[in-house]
Amino acid sequence: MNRTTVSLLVLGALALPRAALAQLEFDNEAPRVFSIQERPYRLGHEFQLGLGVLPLDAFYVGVTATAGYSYHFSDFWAWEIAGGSYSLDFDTALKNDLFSQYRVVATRGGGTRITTFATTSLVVKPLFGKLAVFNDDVVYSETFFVAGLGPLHKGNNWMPTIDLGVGFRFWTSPVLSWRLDIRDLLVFESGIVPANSLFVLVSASFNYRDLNKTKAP
Amino acid sequence: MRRLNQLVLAAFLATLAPAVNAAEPNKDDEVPGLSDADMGAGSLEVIQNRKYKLLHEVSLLGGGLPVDPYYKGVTATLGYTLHFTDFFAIEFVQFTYSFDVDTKLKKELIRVALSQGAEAPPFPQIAWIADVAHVVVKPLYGKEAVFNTKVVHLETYGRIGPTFVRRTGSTDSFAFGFDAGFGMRFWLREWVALRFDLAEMVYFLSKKPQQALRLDAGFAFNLRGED
Repeated sequence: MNRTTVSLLVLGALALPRAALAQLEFDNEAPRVFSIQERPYRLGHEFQLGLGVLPLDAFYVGVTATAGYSYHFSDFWAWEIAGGSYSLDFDTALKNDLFSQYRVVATRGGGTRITTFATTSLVVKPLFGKLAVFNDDVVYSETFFVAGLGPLHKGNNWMPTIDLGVGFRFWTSPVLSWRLDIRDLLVFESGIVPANSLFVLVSASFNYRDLNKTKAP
Repeated sequence: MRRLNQLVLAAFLATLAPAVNAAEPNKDDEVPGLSDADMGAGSLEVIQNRKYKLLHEVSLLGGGLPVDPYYKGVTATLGYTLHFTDFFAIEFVQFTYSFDVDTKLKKELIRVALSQGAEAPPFPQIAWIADVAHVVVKPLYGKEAVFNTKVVHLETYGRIGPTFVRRTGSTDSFAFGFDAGFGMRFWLREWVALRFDLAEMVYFLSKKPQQALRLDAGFAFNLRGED
């Protein structure tokens, strides 16, 4: 081994720690580290009961009784296998106003009305977290989005509908949570241009899941 | 040498003796044991300091007035809110201008009226809304994990207060009312957040109260000058 080889080996050995140190240097700022806490609540089989409202139609306001069942595949995905609503429709003052102000009688009592609808929907749940209530208590929450389709009974006919919406869930226990759903029902009454119907739902959800499981279903 | 070792050992033990005495607990000063309930075990919650705090908030929202049978309002809203604490704020002013789009019903009524030789009836429409001095209560603040990879901070709030409504197409052109609703805020940066508002407005004209559902979404800019 000549002197040149020895010199190169010594230089190489000196360079190695410097290369390792360079990996620990940051250009501008230290990396941001998030600590995501383990979820204390997880859903499996979800049974839902609620009261909703269909507020948009000018001639009536629908008050719905709603029930549903969802299966949660993971923390992020679920299938709302069936959700059904029956609507009790209450007249607004428009029909009387039309007659008293304009001497006009609405045909068919002011158009057709939604009485029943059922949907099956894909649910994506990207957001899970916890909220401080007046900095005094903690409530766990989830934000989710739904997209689905199903039949809708309006007037005397059944027609397809697509539901799109957002929802918020607040847990009170591993078994019971409260949901607020805001959905838009796209009702294909005639042709391909749908009519919109806003659907606001408040419901209680009952969760059945093997609580001994620590991992998501 | 052996004697010297014994002396050193005796001196060492003598230095330990006071320490041993001091370590013995005095029964009179004994602290009573605390149960789990005393310690709050199982229910102890730690509330983290808020990452984002608001002071001067300027909001720019777009939305709609979707309920009126004769028109649908497409609205643009500008507002200012002063946040006094984490839980309480005053929305001093929020001005909404509505671009109204006639519905099929209105067009049909006008057509019927004109076909009968009558004048087209005046359909009152909201032109603008001025919310003043709304009380804003913000009970919930927290953070949610986005697909377990990122964290977004959010807040929910309720707001209520008086409002003034300017209507066109009617002799009752100016009305006073109340507006109440709730909303959510998702922070994008320290200085900007996404806002979603839902509110019900009731205003009073000569005959009977009128109501209007308001839906808004947009950006809220935090002009807080300090961390």
